[in-house]
Amino acid sequence: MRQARSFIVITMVFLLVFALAACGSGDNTGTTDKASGSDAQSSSEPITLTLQTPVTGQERVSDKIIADYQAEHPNVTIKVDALDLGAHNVKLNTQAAAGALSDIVVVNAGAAMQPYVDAGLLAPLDDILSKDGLKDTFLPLVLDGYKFNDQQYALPMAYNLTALFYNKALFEKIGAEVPKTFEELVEVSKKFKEAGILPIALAEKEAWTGGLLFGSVLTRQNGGPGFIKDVLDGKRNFHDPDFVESIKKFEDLIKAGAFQEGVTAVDYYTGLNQFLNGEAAMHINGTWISAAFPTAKAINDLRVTEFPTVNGKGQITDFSAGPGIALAVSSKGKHTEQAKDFVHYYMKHFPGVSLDMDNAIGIAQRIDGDLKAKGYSELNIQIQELFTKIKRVEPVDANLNAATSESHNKTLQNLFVDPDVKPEDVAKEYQDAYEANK
Amino acid sequence: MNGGLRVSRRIYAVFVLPSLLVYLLLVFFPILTSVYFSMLNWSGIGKAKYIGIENFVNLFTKDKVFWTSLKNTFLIVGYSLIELPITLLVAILVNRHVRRSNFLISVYFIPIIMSSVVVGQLWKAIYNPVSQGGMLNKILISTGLESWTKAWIADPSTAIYALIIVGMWQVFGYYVLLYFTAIRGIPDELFEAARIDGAEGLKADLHITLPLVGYVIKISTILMVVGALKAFDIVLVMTGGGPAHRTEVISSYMYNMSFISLKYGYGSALSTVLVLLCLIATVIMNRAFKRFD
Repeated sequence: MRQARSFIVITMVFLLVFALAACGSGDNTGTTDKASGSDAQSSSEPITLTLQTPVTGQERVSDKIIADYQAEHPNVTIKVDALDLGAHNVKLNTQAAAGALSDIVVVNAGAAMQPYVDAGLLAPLDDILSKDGLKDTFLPLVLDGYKFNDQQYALPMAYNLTALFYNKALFEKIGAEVPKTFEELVEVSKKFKEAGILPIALAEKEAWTGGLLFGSVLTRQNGGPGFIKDVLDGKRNFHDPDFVESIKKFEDLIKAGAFQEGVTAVDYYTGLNQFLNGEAAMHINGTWISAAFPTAKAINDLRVTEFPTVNGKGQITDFSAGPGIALAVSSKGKHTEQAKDFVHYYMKHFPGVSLDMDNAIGIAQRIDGDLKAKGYSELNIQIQELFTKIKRVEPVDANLNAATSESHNKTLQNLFVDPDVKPEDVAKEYQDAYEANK
Repeated sequence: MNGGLRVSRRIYAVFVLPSLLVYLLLVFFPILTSVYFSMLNWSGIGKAKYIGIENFVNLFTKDKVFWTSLKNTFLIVGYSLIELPITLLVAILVNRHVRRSNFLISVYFIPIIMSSVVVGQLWKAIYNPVSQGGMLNKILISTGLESWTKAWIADPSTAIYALIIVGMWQVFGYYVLLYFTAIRGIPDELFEAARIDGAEGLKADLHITLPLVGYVIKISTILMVVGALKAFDIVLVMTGGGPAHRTEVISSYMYNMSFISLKYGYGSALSTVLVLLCLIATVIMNRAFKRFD
């Protein structure tokens, strides 16, 4: 009997401990509700708008703008429903399948938001875009990724480009130059490996990270943007010599031992933090990683540069870049006009508030002000300079549908465990996946 | 109904109905809808196109990944079935030889109440390459077995087995507990009587313990097989089905298809196959056990 009781007690204690642990972590990613603190008597009816968003790391900025908006519109309450990105996307799809989105939703550009537009779930935003010169605050070209049938369906908050991040201190340590060509990148990777330093931190458990890197290789080898578009237009296919050569180059880098051992099991944040904490010499990723800079141990050694040329081809002013997350308004909501008004207010104040809060890197709008004086890190200022160098853009992952991209990424993932696959066979797999999911 | 409570059929119905309705709504209805979805070409958003059994035809004839995931799923089932007799043996031995056995059983049970994410990360720390602090590889090196070191869950030749071990470790305590309680429930008099007749130890186990815990063997086998067929969380946390689908199981593939590749109809076809597999497995096992009853 006593033994039975001790069994129950021990079990209960562990249950409690793990339940508490689960609650503790839940606070970070769980839903946050923000109710209006204002008791002001309002002349109009009380309105509650729900904002469905992924956790972006920019909550300081959105919290401030939302609080300001609610202060100016006492009858409006903005309820924030924030989930991590994967869960957010699943929730959006579930809501869409049920035929109604939240009043205001955060969406991704291009092919990712097309289904919502086609299903008539989003309201056009052209009227608020032309109000108060909001349109002129955006960087050139960036709005296009959210345009369908000549109507604007979302306003972007983020604009990202892919670049080569590197650790200056580690390059100095082994006396190497930052690679300007892909061939140098392969050589320097070998050097780092010999010196016992991880050359490139990647997180290939998330297969898109390898896809991102390969996209940059392909754009260079192609001599500029446009390969995927040519494929979609039926002018070329994946058996193209440039594509096959890009795969060969990609395999060269893997064979040089540039990545972590067992990279296909490395989680996204593990890979990212290996670089941010100074354990890896290089990292290839989108500029969205700037959200993680405040906690980076090696931040003072980190720098960024353009992705190198491949076989001497490509311009370094061409970037794999992508419009990022954007605000959109549900067409089926009860208070569509109010939601549009909020989005207008939000985007109007977004650059200013972001600048003040050390968060203006990689936003889709112009910022006026001296970043250095505002205390921005060297790395952030370098990133901002890259944005001014963009001449041509290859859209990241926005043109192929989800099934094709996913299949392509898995094909690439296989190369990390078997880099000796014939490039022609990889090309065939790419082409087959593309045709099967057309 | 001899004596005791007399309950009319109507009363039965009244009491059963609420939970029956909830069951139908939450289990049966979704199964039927997903069977319907499996006949659609649908991204989950917007218009769906009815395509009959095309998804299933593609699944069985064109999709290599499906066969990989099916093979991995059966591999997990197979190893789980090997694990069951071991848990029974452990339960018998613990019951016989360990004095404060309840404490030991509680310790065995801990992995069950740990979240799969925690278990996954824990084992990742064990399997990692040395450069990332992998415990297993460090032990191998310190014992002079350096040539055996591997990136266990990233190497296609070991990845699925590495995951199977984690899964087996996680549920081990649960089945030991099941058997342990069942053995505890056997009256001591039976063993005493057997001892007088000269049956002790293994002999007693064979003729008393085994038959008397038969019902637990049945239920635990069904639980184990169905649980193995549905294996998902450890795979998702540790490898996400990678490298390149090598550790994909049916449910992880279903998840990836439905929510990453946005082929909701195809994902539903996979889930239909999974439901059928579970159903068939349960029927077969029930039949098989009927012989012993």
